[in-house]
Amino acid sequence: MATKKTPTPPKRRPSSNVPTSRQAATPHRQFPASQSEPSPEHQTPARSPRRRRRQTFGQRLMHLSTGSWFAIVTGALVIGIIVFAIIASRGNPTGSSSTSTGLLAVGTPAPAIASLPAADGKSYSLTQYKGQKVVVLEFFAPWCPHCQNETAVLKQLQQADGSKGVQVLSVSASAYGRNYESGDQSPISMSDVQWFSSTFGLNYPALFDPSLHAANTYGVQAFPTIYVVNKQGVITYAGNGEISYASLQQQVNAALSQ
Amino acid sequence: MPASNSKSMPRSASEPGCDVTQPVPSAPARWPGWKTAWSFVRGPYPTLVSRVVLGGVFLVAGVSKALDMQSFAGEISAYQIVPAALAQPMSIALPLLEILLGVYLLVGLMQRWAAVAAGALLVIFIGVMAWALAKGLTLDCGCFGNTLGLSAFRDTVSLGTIARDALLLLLAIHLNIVPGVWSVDAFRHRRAATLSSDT
Repeated sequence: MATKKTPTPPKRRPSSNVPTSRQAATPHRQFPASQSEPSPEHQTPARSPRRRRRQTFGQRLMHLSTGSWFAIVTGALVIGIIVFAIIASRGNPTGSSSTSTGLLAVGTPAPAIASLPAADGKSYSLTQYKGQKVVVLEFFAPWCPHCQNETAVLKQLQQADGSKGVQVLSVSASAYGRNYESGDQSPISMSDVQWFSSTFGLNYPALFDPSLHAANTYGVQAFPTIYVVNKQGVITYAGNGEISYASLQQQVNAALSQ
Repeated sequence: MPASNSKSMPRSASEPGCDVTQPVPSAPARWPGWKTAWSFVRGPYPTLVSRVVLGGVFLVAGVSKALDMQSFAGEISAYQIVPAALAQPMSIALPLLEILLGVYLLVGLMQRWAAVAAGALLVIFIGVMAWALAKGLTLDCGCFGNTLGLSAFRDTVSLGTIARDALLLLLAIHLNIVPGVWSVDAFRHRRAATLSSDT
């Protein structure tokens, strides 16, 4: 009895473009390591020769979007500004005797301050203490709250070290009177300095300098600004802002020991 | 499992389990038009105000500083943060960068990035002023330079100047989040959309 053979389809190897479950699980094994390039079946749809050709720099520039152009121009402008600032500042350096704060440098001679009237009715100058006392020179504004706070430190220093050869001098360094903080821009007068001296009970002279010549000479940009000048008339400390009693006394002791 | 999900979550209203008759909870009643007002505030038009205010402030401040860079260098030095070698270049670069930022913000060019840059500058300004306050320094904040007759804005560093910069920082954040209108950016996007629809 002849058996009827049903035709069996020829055994086909699984098509390479249909991944088996193993291939799907481990996609990195799809191409053997020895195979440098995937078979044509694995390749993505062929690109046109024109697209595949590597673009030159000029061609890339031509195809940039407007937004990219704006970004490039902006970046160039910013870099140009920074470079210009560096070059321009080289031609216009800050004074060699000034510090990073714009103040006079430590170790330089303290410029003379002409005789100025004080709140107590007398006149004082810096030169009168040269060779005799260490001077703590404070530049203040009567309206400045930090200057008002600093008076306690300076009074304590004058009290403690006055007999050791230390003299505190405060010089007005603002063009405005005591009510500047509340919007009053009237110019400073001797009455403002006297008010400052009496209100905070100063035990050292508060000098009135309406021309601001001393403040400009000493590079005052902020209040309070404090210098310590030793007996030889050389600056040993320069700083802005409130300073604690301990720090100031340390500076004064260092100046006294010179 | 996907099978159980398909059972428990009907994919359309025609499938059993979807109760289409259930009333949709409505939003609580508020004053009429609040949604419209809120959508307007979140929309692009208020960015015009932010752009004009922030851009105008940067432009005016930059021009005022640029006209007197020497005294601005002194104001930078007074903060006692920047080394002397940097104060001079900063007094030149900062006003020019502020002018650039002001112009970009006013015309609405690269608005988001300009707002980021303005915000970064404002954060630095706020930090520097807070530092000066903490150090017990009384000094001119140097915010608007010394020219252009801006004496009303010449004020010492205080909580008020910090609050003013914080307010400007909020405007910068607004401009970073919400895209602008009547700006170069909007014009570019509209043009790009027209070109793509034509092709």
